[in-house]
Amino acid sequence: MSCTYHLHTEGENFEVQIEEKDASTYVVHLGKSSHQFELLLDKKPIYTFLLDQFKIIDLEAQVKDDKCQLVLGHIPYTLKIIDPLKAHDGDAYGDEGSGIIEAPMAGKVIELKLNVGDSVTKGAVVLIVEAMKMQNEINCPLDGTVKNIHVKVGDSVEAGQKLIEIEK
Amino acid sequence: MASSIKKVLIANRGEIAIRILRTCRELGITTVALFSDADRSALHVRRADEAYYLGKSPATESYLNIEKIIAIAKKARVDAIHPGYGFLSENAQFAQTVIDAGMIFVGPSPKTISQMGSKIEARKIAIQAGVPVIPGMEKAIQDLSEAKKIAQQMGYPILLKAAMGGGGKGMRTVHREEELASAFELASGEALKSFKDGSVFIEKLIEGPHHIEVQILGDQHGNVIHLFERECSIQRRHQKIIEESPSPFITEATRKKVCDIALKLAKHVGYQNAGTIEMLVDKNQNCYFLEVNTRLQVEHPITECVTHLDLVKLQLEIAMGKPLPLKQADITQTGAAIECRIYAEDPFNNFRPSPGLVIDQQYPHGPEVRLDNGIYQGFTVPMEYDPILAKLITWGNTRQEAITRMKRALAEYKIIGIKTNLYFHRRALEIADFVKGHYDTHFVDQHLAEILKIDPQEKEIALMLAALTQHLHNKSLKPTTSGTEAASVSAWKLLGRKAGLRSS
Repeated sequence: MSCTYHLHTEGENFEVQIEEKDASTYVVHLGKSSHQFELLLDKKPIYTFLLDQFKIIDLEAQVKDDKCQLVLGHIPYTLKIIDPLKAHDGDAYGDEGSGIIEAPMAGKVIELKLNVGDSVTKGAVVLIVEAMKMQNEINCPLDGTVKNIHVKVGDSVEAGQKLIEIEK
Repeated sequence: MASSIKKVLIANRGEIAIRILRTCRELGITTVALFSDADRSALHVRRADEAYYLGKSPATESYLNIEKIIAIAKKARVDAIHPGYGFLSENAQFAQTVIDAGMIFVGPSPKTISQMGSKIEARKIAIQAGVPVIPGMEKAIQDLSEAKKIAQQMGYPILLKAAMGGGGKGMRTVHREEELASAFELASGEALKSFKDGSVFIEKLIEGPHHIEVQILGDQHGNVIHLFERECSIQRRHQKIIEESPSPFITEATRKKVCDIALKLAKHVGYQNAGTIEMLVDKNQNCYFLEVNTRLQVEHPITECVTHLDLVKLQLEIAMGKPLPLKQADITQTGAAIECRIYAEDPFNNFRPSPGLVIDQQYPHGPEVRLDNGIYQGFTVPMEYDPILAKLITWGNTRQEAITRMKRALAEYKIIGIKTNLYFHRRALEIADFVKGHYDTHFVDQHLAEILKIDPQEKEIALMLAALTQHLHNKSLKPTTSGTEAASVSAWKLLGRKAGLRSS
């Protein structure tokens, strides 16, 4: 009685197995390690677990589509949970991600460095978003051509908003 | 000449507006807050006695709009305006406008603000006052022989700087005379290419620089006192992150020297109200004047903790024309205090700002823990302003006690929904050089990788929890657990089959 999840973060892949012991207790396996987690409090997005029957863990976690963002011990993690049905494409495991550039934070677009049809290289600065008096350069995740630009200079954007689509 | 202040307008926002408001409450002064669109429900607005709408979210249309602020101040019939830090706090024109409108500006005179606001002017005044400044030239070097002469007088190492420079371009460090010729050529060439102006200045290089600043207070009767120093060397891109008082680095003799320098300069300009004299102290304890901040500093609470004084109260009393209630001899620096600035930023992604909704917050408490906080659960931290959310300050009988207490308080502190630098602080406080007090302004650059290191076991738990959260999420979507399992198992079987088909 177990489920397997494939995680992807910062170029690394992990396979995590979850066994349900009872309605709120889980044994989780990763590589050679196993830990037991008992869910004490579920106040989505805040969870409290009892780790291995002795340690309290406070967790903040948000799941959206295949993305999981969590904060544990003041450290933020962003992970991709790979859907086994799509995994065979190869892309899902890749570093490059999709060609969709999203706003990493709420802010204002102050500079657009390209037009539809332009070819871009991975790592190139594609636009600048100003937030909290700082100018943040947003980089292109892959080599390709600009397929669509959804914003213009002066637009306010929300975190996670689709900004630019790049076609491989 | 003493005039009373019964109502104050606070021309600021966030934690500092609340800090000022608190003292006003204690003094029985009515408070007036201002708010922009983004700050309609901000904590400083909810805490004030009165609050007035100022304008649209961008600072230029709200907290920097002198005309509107003055109009509101008149309408609210306030006696004084406190500018806090940032925004209009060091704007001489604003101070003058407040005075011309018949109100009290809680800060130094417009003349002092404008004199100290110009780096060149402030340097000139410091030289007049007999205060040491960083040796350097006021005009560009003509040729190599002139550069050689000056560098020799100054003593190596020196710094060559493009006149129009910025961002490190056209900048060269020279340790020996043999290196000067090529460095001069390179700096000048780079300057010409980058700024279309090849002029180069020469300045003494400060080795192992410490940012040390001294808090001063002057009243309207010619009395000036200092409240000792603050060590602010833990910074990143000139933005302070952790400050402490006393400095763990300077000797007793240097402490006396920096405090004397501060007093000398403050007296020379007839400084009134609260101010800070910023200095650089090199690894050999040489002190150089940097600049004067003519306002209340972000990091003023650590001075309050070690002196047991309320700086905002003293600011208001001075503004009312009262003489300083204490003499230099009455002021002592007791124990040690540390401040951690809590920023909405992601240290793991090049300190990218992180505005947004605060889903939940758990505050640190306990003995000798002070939190100057500007946000609350349910508040959306605006993208338009500084990323400072709060300041956590701890005091201890010793520096070690203050650090231990800070680590304890940081562990209690949780801000959920937006990214913060809480982890950065926890780790920075564990770095051996910080614990020993052996650090200068290069600390963050030198130790960043170590600070951001994640314990592999902690990461393992995080990965497990990510999968578990996804699992719980899936379960909540599908009420029958067996269904989820069946689906996911078959999905992998399906994948296996597909892979099998492809490879065959």
